[in-house]
Amino acid sequence: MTNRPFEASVADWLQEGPDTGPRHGLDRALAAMHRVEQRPAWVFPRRYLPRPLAGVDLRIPASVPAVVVLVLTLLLLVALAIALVGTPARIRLPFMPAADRPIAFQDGPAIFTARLDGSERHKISGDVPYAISPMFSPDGRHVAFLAPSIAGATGGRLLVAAYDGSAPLVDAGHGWLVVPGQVPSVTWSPDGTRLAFAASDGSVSRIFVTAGIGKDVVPITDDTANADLPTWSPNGTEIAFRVTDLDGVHRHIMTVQPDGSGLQAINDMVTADASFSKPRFSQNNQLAYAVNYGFGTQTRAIIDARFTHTAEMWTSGIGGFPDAGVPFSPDGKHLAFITAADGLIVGDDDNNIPAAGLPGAGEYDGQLRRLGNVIDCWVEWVPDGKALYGGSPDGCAGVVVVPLDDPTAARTLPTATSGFASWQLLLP
Amino acid sequence: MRRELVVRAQSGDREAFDAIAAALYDQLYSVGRRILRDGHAAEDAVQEALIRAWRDLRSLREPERLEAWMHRLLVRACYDQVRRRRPFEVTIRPIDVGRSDPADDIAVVAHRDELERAFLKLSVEQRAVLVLTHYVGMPAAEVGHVLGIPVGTVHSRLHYAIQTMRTTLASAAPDDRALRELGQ
Repeated sequence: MTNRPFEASVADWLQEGPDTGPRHGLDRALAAMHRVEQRPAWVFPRRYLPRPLAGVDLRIPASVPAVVVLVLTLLLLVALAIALVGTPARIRLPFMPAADRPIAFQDGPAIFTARLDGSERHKISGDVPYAISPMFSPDGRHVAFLAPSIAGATGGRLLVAAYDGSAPLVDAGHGWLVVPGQVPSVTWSPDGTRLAFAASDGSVSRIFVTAGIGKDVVPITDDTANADLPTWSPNGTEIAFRVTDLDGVHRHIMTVQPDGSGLQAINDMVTADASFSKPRFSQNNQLAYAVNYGFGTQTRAIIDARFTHTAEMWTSGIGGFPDAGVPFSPDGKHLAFITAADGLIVGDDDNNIPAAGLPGAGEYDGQLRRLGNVIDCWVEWVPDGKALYGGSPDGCAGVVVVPLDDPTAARTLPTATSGFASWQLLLP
Repeated sequence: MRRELVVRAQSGDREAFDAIAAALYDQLYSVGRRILRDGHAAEDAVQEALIRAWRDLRSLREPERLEAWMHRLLVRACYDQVRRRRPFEVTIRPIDVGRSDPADDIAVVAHRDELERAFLKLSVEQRAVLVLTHYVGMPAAEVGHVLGIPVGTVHSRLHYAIQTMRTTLASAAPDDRALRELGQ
């Protein structure tokens, strides 16, 4: 059956209705417009300015000729160059923040933990033939990882090990297979006692929650839609996850309480060629996620303050794994994401988004800082928030750490050799 | 739109922009009204689009493209309007968009208010594509340019919008009334 007759009737219906707007509406719009200043064409976008300058009116009166502006700018740049060359070399802050905490990483087919210098290395994946995607529990006592049945798979059984390999492995997923994906569909509860994961019986992917490590596993979503990429909120009251309806067109970011109650849709879209990323929580319960349009050719990195406002902080292509999302820094003030053309970017969480109805509402006006092509595939925050770590830019063969105070001092860790890694948040 | 009027407005001439706004207001309002299905929200969206246009007019490199740019600003303002009053929909309910059913024909003669309800089931992105295509009469390439999406996405949004409306109408009126109307 063709759509044409119906499409034509919809088109006819759309033609019905007013073709003119109310005069008072135009008057109101003109009055509102007259209260707004016009931006000069050449103005530097405020998002790139340091915060102290963001509120400064940088426009130059039209009476000043452009040549004078150009000459003054060049003189200023020359003066800056002289000042920088004549300044003693910067003293670098101590590298490797949170260096006293080990990381869990994949080396070949096994999972290890070790200090950043390679010392105190423990193999923790026992006799499991293939082990990938380690995730430290927030309390630092355990490491969850996936055990695929074959090499190269990205899903598998969910196992938990002691951080130093001193206790037997526990099958935390009770035989359920965590669904394969660009990023693991597993999350720890903030107290480190429970896990949530996405698993499938071969048809529909659902979110499951464990009652404890090795204890009962119960589904908290039904089989009417595919759910994956869960993230537990820092206060422990919610789990956010991605939903794709069975038609493959209706997509949602949703939250649910760990007991399966209180299901809420945070954002929805209907599209065949776009997807949400993994949602990420901030400490104050905001969510951040990416919307990958055209399968990643256009991406909107979104901060979502739960129905009060959203802000789009990036509207160009994303890099790395599109599903990885936009992680908040531990203090919730910054977000990091990998882009296709501009490398790694750290943005402020913009708390100054104008309220609904005011000019600029919904626009991101925070500062974006470009750190260059220093990380690929995935990115996470080091526990103290002073650095980022992720896949090395040479095809993610290793794990690289990028100090925020000096991104040029990025280093590849000697311990980690492939796949995801996980930094211990707290010392046990 | 006369090019010199836009150029004058770009140089800061408020009267010139007032004239532009007055000339475009009706069309912008009628497009926004159709996307949002709400006159007050459409007024707000047009106002926001005009404010943004005035604020950023100097960044428009091709004055001849003012109307396409204004439509882009308007659609973005409509998106914002919908996000601000985003409904709480908590039911995960798959919609069978692929089925073929004789009852689909009821949609050809469906009541206007049923079409309205089915239209409101669409995402605002789908509504924008439908309105720009079937009300404004833009070709798919122009719609893609205005919305900043590939042409293929325009086609897919149109397709799924129509399918979703058909399915909504069919599921809302499955019985005798539909069959009665089908026979008319």
